[in-house]
Parts: sequence; C-alpha cells; structure tokens
Amino acid sequence: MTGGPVVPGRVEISARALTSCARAVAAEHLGAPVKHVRVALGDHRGSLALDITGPIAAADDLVGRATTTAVEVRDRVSELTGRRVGSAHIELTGIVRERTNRVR
Amino acid sequence: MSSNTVGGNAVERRIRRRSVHRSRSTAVSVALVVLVLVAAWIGTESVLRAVGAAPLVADPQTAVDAALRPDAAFVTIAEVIAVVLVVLGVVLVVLALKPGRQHRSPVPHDRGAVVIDTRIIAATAANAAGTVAGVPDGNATATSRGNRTQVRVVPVSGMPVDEGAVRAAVEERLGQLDERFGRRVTVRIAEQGTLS
Repeated sequence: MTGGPVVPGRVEISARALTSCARAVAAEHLGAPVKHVRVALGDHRGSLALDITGPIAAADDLVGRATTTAVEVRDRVSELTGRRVGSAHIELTGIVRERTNRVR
Repeated sequence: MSSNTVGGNAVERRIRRRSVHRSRSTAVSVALVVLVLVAAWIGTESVLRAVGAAPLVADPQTAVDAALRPDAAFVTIAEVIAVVLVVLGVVLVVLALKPGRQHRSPVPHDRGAVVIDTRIIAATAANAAGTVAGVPDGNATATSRGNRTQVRVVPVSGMPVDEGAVRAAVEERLGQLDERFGRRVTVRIAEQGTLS
C-alpha cells in the first residue's frame, strides 16, 4: 500500500487473496498439501492474526517444529503481503507421512 | 464563531448571518397568531355583551367573577392553564435566546457570501485522513460541528496508522478551506483493524 499523496490511488489486497497467500505459505512450511490446510484471518490489536489448522510433516519434535513453523509463517506472510502480522496460531490436526510403499 | 470575523460588507454579513442562524419568524408568527385570536375573542365577547346577545363561551363579567371567587374546579383549570403557559413561555424564551445555529459555516471569499455545510468539512477531513492513512474510503469517517472536527480511522489489519500524520494532514487540508477549521482536530484510531 502506498497511501501517500505522491502516488494517486491505492493498492488494496482483498481478504481472499490474503487468505490464499497465507494458506500457501502455511502449507509449504508445515510440509502438508494445501488442500488440507485451512487459514482464518483476524485482527489482533491492529495487526494481522493468522489462525492455521492443518496437519504437519512427520518429525521427531513436533511441538518444536510447529513453533518454529509459526514464526516462519508469520515472517514470510508479513514479507509477502507487507502487512504486520501479530500472531500465528497453529492447530495441528494430524501428521503427513512420506509415501513408504514401493513404487512399482 | 461569529460571522463578523469573515469580513465583507454589511449585506454580505447579513446574508451569512441569515444562512448560518435559524430564523425566529416561525415562533414569532405562532405567538402573534395566538395573541390575535385571544384578543379577537375578548373583543367579540365584549360586543356580544354590549348588544345583549348570548356569549360564545363565557361573557366577561362571569369570567371575572369566577376568577375573583374561585371554587375548587376553577382552581384546577387555572393551574393547568398556568402550567401550559409556563411551558410555552420557557420554550419561547429558549428560542429567543439560543443562537439557533445551523450546520453551516461561513468561509471567506473576496466576492459574495460563501457558506458551506459542515458535512462538506467532515467529508474533506475524512478524505484527507483516508488518503494519508492508506485505508479504504469507508474506514475513515469524520464529524464536524462549529470549528471542531473529529476524525475516526479504522486501520487495515497489519498496516499501522500514524495518528500524528493523520492529524497533520487533516489540519492542513481543512486549513485550505479556512484557517479556523484546522485548529481543533481530534483523531481517533480504532484499536481493532479490518481486513482489506
């Protein structure tokens, strides 16, 4: 958004676009398919609040991974959309395994 | 705010005053019509009494007698009438003393009397605030009354809004209309933002 009087007009990002963006970023960092990840956007004292629900890729320290994922997603969404992201809440619903059956 | 501060000749001052303040002619007309009706009734009753015809409501002598020797029913009626008259009197006094200012403000102009609606000031303030804050049109609202302008901005989530910058922009823009409008500006930034 460039709201100054120097550039006439304003760039607006719709809530849908923000949600799609955040969803893709969250799926990427969780290591889960996008269709299983849900993201709800909210407002946290003037900053963007992310509410992510989805499975996470299998790992040893799931809680630690989820925590770092929250921070990564927050920073990446903030970087991509130019909005200040206040909080990222992650709710894990399951584990995504790599395919173990042999490819024939 | 006095319309005299803007200047101009007597006619322009008068036009501005008449535009900014409400006319009292309605109240005066109503009061005079009531007065005329009461006087006409008293006159009619007096004439009817003089020619010996039957009174319309009560002939003057009976009314005066009743007032001088009041019985219980008459006292009640008199009290009710007195209360109504007091209320009417208070309303008239308030109408006479209040400035009766309307939602308009005079602005200086080298030719003619220029009066603008306060909604225009408010819309100008909201527009300036919205442009500087970078929020959609609906997120910046303003109300204006007299010289006082209040601006409310609902920020877009994740885009912090600088209150000082908004105030400066609004003051600057209103100052272009007239320096008086830019002096008292209050800006409030909503704590909760909206998405997009």
